[in-house]
Amino acid sequence: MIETKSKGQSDPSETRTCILETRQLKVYAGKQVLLQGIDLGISEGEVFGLIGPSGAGKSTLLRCLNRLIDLDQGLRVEGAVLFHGQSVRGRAMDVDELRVRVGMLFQQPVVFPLSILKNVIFGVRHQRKIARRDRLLVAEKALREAALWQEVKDRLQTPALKLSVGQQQRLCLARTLAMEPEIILMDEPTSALDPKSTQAIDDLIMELKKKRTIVLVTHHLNQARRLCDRVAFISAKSGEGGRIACMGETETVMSRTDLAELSDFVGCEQGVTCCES
Amino acid sequence: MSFFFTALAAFFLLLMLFLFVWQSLPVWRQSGLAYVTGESWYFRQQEFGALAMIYGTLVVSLLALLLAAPVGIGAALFTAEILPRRWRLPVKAAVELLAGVPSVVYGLLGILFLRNWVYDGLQYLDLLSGDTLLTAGILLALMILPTVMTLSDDALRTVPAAQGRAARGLGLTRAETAIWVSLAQSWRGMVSALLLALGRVLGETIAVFLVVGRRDNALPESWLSLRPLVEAGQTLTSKLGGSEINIAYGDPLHWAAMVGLALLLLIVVAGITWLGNILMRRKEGESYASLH
Repeated sequence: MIETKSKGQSDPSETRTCILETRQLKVYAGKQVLLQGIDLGISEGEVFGLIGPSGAGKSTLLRCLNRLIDLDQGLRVEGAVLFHGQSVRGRAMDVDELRVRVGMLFQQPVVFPLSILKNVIFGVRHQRKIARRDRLLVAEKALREAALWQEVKDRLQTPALKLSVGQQQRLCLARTLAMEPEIILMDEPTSALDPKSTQAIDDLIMELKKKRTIVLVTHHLNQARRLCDRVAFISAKSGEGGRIACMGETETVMSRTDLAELSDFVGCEQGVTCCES
Repeated sequence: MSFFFTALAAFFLLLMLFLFVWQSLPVWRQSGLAYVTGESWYFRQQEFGALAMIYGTLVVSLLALLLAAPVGIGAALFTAEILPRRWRLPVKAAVELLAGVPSVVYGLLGILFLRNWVYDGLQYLDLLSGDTLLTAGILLALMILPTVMTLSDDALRTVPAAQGRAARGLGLTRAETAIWVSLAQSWRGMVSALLLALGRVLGETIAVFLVVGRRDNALPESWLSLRPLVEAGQTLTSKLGGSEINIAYGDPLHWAAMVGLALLLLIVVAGITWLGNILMRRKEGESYASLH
């Protein structure tokens, strides 16, 4: 099992156990390669960033981690994804249980046309039996963790669709948190949000990283710098599948100048230069 | 423009209603409410009670819906949620073709196969023939199955895929997602599909006519008895579609009684449509939430 160092630890030499890893992960859509030979390990309690240009396969990789990729017809996955050393693609793995333990926050908030309260407990009430009186407690805990409680505590029965997009995204996070997942996969969770809501989600991730492992797909390098302990830069040349061009501690990766694709990407993001290739 | 056509439709409906009320006035004057509650229909004795036909219509319709709803909605769930995308369109096209088969063809198939199957299968119940309310109900269920299925499938497809994905991401199983997301969000469309099917069931004449037995005054000894299901009966449409309508034309009271049946049919169908509209008008969030 891979062991990694993590930024922000008191002892830099301290190592953490890898709880989620991929080995030679490949994804195909027919004959087209979407991802090629992805090897990475994610340690407990870290925020791991996946950065790279659009179409490189970051979201595809993310969906492989909790097998949401299975819902996409026509995709073929090869290689291994291990969660606590157990293959998530093995027969012994209960995929629904896996998705409870490895939660997901999507790019766009997906709220159900229900009240705020019912949205928060939507997943958890199907996962385990909770008494009616305990539902509010579960919801309150999750909403507090998602920093939404103060804003909605007086209108829990209001339709969730009446919330702002930023609040809806935090509601989705609360819904995921109510399941008490070990890992949260976040697929560009702030891409549809305004700066204020983005800041709120960023602050939340900073808070959540104390207790949970987070895998964050982001286009924003500043966000990756602020939040991620380690990042993997995924690049894809035209016609080839996405691959990890480099991986390591965030600042180390960001400061690399020997990798043309990464330099281009960082340059574009910072508005310094933008190469066609 | 739409207001104009709505007004035009309303005008024709009212005109039809007025015509039927006017034409059926003699029988209402003679029998009053007993025309609806009366158990006997003997036109030679000028005795007109439509209860047996109302009963037959309700039983056959209910039976058809009870049989078609679970199968049709289940099949729609299967095509929308389980069947690979490349198979959906061919299946849907085939089902929609079935919906276009003329009812007389179904009726003939009913005579050819269904009637015998019911007779042979339920022989232990001492059936007099295979022409029963049950046969008509099953035949109607088969006839509306494509409508229920294809409209339910359409309703299921209105649920954004992202909702199902979000539910699966929360660890819900495929079945739980189908029930608590797909069905829960599309149930109004399902109700609409069932109401449309019910409209066809209520108005269907020729197929029912061929297999229902057309026995007048077939009422159960007890309203909860299931025995009439396996006996011949009469529905409003089978009565109106029979030769009695020609006999009635020469006799104002008899004619009024026949037109009265058409009026009852119109009122029942309009009532169901009205009920359907009320259900449809409920806010989506409220109706979905009410299922949770």
